[in-house]
Amino acid sequence: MQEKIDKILLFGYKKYGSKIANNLKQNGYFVIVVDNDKDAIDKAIKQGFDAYLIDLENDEDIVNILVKYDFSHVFCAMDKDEENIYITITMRSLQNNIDIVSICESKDSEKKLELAGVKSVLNTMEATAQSIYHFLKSPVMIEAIENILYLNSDIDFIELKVPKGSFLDGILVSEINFKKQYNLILMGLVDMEFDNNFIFITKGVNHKIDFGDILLLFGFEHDIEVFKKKLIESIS
Amino acid sequence: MNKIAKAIVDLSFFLEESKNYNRIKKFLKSVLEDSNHKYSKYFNYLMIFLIVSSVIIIIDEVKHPIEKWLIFYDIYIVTGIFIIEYILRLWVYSDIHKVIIQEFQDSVFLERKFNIFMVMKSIIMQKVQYISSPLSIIDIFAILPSFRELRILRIFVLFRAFKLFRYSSQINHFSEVIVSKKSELFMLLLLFIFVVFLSGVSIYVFEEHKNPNINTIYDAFYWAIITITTVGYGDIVPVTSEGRSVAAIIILIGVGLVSFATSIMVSAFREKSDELKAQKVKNIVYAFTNYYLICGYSHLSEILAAKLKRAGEHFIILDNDEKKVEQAVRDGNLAYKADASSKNVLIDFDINKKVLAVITLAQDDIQNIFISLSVRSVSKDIMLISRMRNKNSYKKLKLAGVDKVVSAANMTSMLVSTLVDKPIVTNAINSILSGKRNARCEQIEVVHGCILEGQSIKDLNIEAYKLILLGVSKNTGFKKRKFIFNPNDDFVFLEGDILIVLGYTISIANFKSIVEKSSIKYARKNR
Repeated sequence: MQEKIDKILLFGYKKYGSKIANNLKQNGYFVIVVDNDKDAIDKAIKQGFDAYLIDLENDEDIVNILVKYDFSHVFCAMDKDEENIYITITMRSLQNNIDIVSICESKDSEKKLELAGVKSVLNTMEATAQSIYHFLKSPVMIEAIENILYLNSDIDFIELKVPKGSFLDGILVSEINFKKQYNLILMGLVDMEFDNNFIFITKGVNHKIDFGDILLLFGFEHDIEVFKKKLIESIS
Repeated sequence: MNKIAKAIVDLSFFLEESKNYNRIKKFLKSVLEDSNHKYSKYFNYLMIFLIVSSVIIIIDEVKHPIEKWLIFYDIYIVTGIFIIEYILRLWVYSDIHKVIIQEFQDSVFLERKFNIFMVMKSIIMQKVQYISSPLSIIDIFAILPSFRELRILRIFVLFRAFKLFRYSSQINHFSEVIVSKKSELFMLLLLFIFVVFLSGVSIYVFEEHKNPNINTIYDAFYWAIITITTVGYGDIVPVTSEGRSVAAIIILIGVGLVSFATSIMVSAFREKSDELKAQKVKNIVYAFTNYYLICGYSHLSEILAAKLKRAGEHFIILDNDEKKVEQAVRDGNLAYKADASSKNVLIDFDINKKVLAVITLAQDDIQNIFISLSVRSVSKDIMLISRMRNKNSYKKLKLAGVDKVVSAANMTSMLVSTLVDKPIVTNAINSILSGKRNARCEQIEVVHGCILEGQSIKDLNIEAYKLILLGVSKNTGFKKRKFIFNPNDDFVFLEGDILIVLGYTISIANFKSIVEKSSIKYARKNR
């Protein structure tokens, strides 16, 4: 089962950064904010974050913070694309094994960030345009999806790694009815035996679930908890 | 009131009330006069064909005898259609019966006698007004060349060419350009006449006895015109030194006049060309059956436009800033310089009928709120999406009637946390939403009479269709909907519910067609 990441280093606490910080905090992450703008840092401290004023061009500042905490993720959420690219390069030069996630506003920067070595890039304009586009095409659907995915509803979805020896290990997909038995929706799975790719459940192929496979499940938080508990209890 | 007058008034009221009469007249009026009418284009093509073919026949006839059927075609068909067209135009120009009714009502109101002659006079005045209009005169002259007995009438074949003005918007624009510089051109013409007169008279006075080529005042004016326009054939040349001095002066004036005329025309065309370009964009948009209206050209609009274009959707971008409109056009989009917050502009783009949704993506929230309010003042029901830059504007945009407020910062923060937490699901869903995978998420509405209506989830057994039912959006009235996630087996679908399903494109298409067909079947059965 995937553990939540403990600490995230977030660069930037302005338009995007402040929103991201609060969202991550709500989702149970410990966020440390750094920015080169004093007002932004003051605001972050006021809102209850550990925040540090740094000079982006001074590596020492960053190293000090890296040493103090053990980060698993770095987030670049400065308002300017150039700064995000610069931070990515700096982080790569300082610490090679850290996952970097960055936002950007243009396609050009997206490519540069990928070259600089980020793990995932989020093109803010692309995502927003996408959201508008989907809303135009199928408004009801997109409201529903956003409701499930992003808003603070009691509906959740999990990526569940099948534990070895649990009752899921070794059975066929057709042998278990997630809806009837657990009130969950199985959307698909990642078969580790196969090619590590996401397989959509409606493909109709009857997969054999093995330990290590990842199941994607939708459901109410309560039902998910119940299911997780049962799964752990079943490990012999 | 005598019997005839009574009959005329009765007939007028009958026409006023007759639906068929009014429908036919309205239809013909729009075909003949409204260039945006859908049939107007075909009518114009037909007329252009008739004109061009008849002009060719008449020109050909000058030298060779032509075949009988061509003469028949020219005299009866072409001229016949021209005459019918002329009569129809005269008919639709004004409503006779309305004038009669008005006069009758006035006479009743003022308790005076109904005066048939007064009515006739005003009707005739109206029709004469049409008959004396330039285009109508051209129409009349264009009918004349068919009377072959009078050879002189052949020259009126030219008027058939003039008639083309009516049917081609490009030629029309040309005449509009000339009309727009009417006063300058008129001034130039006066100056021209003045100089021709002065120089013609002086050359006549100086050379009438000495120059064998100048015998009449007509020769003198002819020479003056040929010289002043800098053509200079050389068939008449001044022989006296006085005459040559006059020639030298008017050559200089002539060069000035020609360049003056050229500059007037060039500037008129330049002024008009932006207008023409805008009109062209409008015409393209009017031809769409439906389209999206994007207000404001920003980076976000650019990406959205690219997405819509890829999906084959029609859209138009409105922006107040000339430079942004140019940029949008360079990016290959349809763009129009206009103030989207102006009610007239919105009505002009027919937002009540043809526009599917308005998306306001202006630079700041104030503009977006303003545009949204204008849109809502014109249309209550249209889907309205707006971008929000400052979170304080959310409430204001909602108050302005925006259906969906989007914010890049909100969107990003939502996506980012799921991206760290659940990368596989996020990627899977994003690729489903963006259509990158063969799998899709789709909404399917329960329409009246379809197989879904009144059916429970258990009976439907959606798994058999190889689909996942994510949930159902129920209509709770007042334009509001409630999303029910993963409903129980005994949930019953009602008309207006929308199913949110996940599945492969082929399964979704199959399921959709089954639902649609079943509702059509039901509709036929109950007809």
